[in-house]
Amino acid sequence: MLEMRRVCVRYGATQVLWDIDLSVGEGEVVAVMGPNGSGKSTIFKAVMGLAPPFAGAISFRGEDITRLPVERHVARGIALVLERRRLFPTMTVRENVLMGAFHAQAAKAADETLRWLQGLFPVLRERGGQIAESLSGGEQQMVAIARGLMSRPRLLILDEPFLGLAPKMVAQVVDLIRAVNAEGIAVLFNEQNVRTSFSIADRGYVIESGRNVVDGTGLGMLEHPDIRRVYLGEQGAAP
Amino acid sequence: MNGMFAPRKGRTLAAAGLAAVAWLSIPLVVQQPYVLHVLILTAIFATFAIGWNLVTGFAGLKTFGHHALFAIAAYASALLAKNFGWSPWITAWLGAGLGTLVGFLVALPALRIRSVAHLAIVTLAFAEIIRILISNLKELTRGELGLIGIPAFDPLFLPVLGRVTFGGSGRPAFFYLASVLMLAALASVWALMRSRAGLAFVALRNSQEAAESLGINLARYKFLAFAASGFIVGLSGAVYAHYVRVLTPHSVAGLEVMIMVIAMVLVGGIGTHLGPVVGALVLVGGAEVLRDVGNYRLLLYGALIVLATRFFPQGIARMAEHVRWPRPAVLKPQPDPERP
Amino acid sequence: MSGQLIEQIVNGVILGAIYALMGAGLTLIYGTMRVLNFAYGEFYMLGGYAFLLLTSAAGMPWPLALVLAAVLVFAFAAVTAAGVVQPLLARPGWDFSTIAATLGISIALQNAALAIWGERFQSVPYMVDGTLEVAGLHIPYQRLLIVAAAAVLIAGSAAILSFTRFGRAVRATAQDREAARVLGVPADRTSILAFAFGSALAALAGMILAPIYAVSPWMGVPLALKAFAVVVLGGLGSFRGAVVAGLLLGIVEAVGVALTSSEWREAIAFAVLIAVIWVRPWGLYGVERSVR
Repeated sequence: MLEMRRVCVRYGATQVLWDIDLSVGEGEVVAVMGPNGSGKSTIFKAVMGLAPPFAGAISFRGEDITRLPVERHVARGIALVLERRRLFPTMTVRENVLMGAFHAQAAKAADETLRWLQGLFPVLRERGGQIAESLSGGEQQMVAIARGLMSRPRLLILDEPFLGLAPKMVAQVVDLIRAVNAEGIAVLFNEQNVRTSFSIADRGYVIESGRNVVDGTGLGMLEHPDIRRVYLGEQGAAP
Repeated sequence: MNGMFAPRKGRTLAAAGLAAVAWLSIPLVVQQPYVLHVLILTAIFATFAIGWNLVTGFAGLKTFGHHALFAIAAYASALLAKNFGWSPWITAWLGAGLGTLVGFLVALPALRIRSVAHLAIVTLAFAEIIRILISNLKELTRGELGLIGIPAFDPLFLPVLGRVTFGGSGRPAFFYLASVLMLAALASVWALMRSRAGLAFVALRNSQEAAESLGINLARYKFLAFAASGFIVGLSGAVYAHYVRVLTPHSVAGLEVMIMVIAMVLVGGIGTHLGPVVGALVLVGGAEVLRDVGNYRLLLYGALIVLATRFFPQGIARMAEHVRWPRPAVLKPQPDPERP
Repeated sequence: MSGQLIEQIVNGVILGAIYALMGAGLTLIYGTMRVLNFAYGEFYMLGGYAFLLLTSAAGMPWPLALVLAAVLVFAFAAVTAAGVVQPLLARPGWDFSTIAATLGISIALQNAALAIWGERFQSVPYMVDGTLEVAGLHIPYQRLLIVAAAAVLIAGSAAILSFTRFGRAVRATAQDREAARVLGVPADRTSILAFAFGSALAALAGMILAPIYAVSPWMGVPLALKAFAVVVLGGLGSFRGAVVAGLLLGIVEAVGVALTSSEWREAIAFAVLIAVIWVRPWGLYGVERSVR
């Protein structure tokens, strides 16, 4: 469904991604792993058009989207939940979520989508009228994911969905990703911790210094010497 | 760091010296009073522009109220000379000193506020208050009627040249006075930017947060930038007062004055040493050359600002730099082959 | 004396309504684009001239002229935003270059108006005649119309911001541009339209004030300076703040003038502005982090 081939990205004069290859199939859950600053978030920004590649190609469901403007991705069925939730701080939870259905097609189905999401996310019902800023980090993450889903995407991309969350909230978000995936929505996310990642992901990619290091399925990847090297000392830190 | 630039610095210095000599020999060739008049105004406003460029271009503290400093120094020097009979040679320094003090005052909000928009509004509001003050304190300034009868600089008795006058037909002498002012301002700012303070200004301009984390005393250097710039702008204002010898609130404290200086610096090249001078030449000189344009001068300035920001933000001075002296390869941003 | 004071306060409210309207438009532009539009007063001026020409030269009835002139200024502002301001936003140093560019546009438009229409102060007839006499006060209906029109325009703008798709796009872009784009909000187009919308509000203010203040190339300057004071007082980018600060400033100014004299009117406004910036740089409704 999503295909990235030899994608290179730079910010100003500094290149941050080098020949990245990555793919996500229909209904798949894919994790991108790697240390801080390895370029994981940039991969997602490249997909979404926020950091357009200067070389390589990105296609989605057979269409080339390498140079597609950011705003047009939603209509193609991709939703990105940015790092640190990025809710609109002075809008209410409900207003925030409805912003997710800004795209015309999504707006038509907004009521129905909202009912579906209220089933998945109790926070939408409990705190709908509250100002987004007043929510806890975990609750904000839920709202941000719900906002992303309002456009009824085929692929949901989550940038650092577990960042700064308490272990209990991590577990909740993990459950949520499973539930979303059960509806047939493919999920692409990143996370430093390999064990957390593979508790939900079908496949994973390890990125280091902006390059593919290794990819594969399941915890078997962990036996790879490169992984052992990258994650030496970090393996025991699973929450 | 000087070593890296050594060959280029030598050539730059030689070129600068040559340009200065060429500028100073103009009166030997051209004697029409009108041309000298235009060149004198060019030099005075170039000095103003050099002062504003120091704080806005080099230190990155965007201020839009420096015409207030120009006006305060102009009126102060004029009033002291006129009312107390003091020599303009002394009152001009007092005016510049007042400009420095007011510069300190304007620096205060810049200590607390980093938002460019807020700073722009405060400095502009301050300048408006000054303009209204000058216009309303009629007993002192005669308000909109204009302050007239401002004394000229007293004649000087110089070796070789003998008695040199600066009033009336003494245009060549005033040309040299204004030129010395401009060149001194240029040299001072150049020297300042090569000192420790200059490094601090560059750090300040690039990122106040980063400068702070490097242990640079932000308040101190902001004060320094505003005070030094206030001194230069004040001096140019005082010299202007004793040159034109008539002041009105609008001619020195009107927003148009600031806009003209902004246009000069942007057209010439903001954050460059020669930019303000080049810009002043183009705008003051250019507008006078295109005499028909005279009436549309401000329209032209406005359009030039828009065109400069939109299409050549680097300005003429930097463009010239690129043509004649390509930068050493090491300065070019290159992708790091190793890693981000 | 007290009757005079009441009259001053009434005048202050009328003035404040205009300040609020001007501030609302300016803050809308700043909020979505982060651009301080220094050409704002000239859109007010263009509104005045467009209205003057449509009513007197083209002989159009004033309500129609009001709408048409607003549309014309809206279109002109949109072109300005798309052609000059928006392209600057992508470059480093945009916060300064946009201010410089709009200052340039301001002075160019003033002098273009001077070249085209001359320096003559031209008057526009009252839209409504007559005077309301109540409790010893004489208030011309034209002034009441100004307050009513300003109130309607402000309430209408607030409604647009709150309830329409465009309004949601504006608010989302203002609060987090990147997040808005990711959700499919065309942030660039939204900013350009917000710029034009805010400028049209200024133009409308220029039209309803035209019968009281004459139309001239410089008519926008004092009003724009006031609008800047208002948006900073209210908190840059805050719509509610601009409205509250506009009304407050109008009253403070009127009372201040009653206590001193009219030639200090402008100085009072700017002194208040500087005092507020000193104590509370983010204004009444702004957020502290916005000024750092």
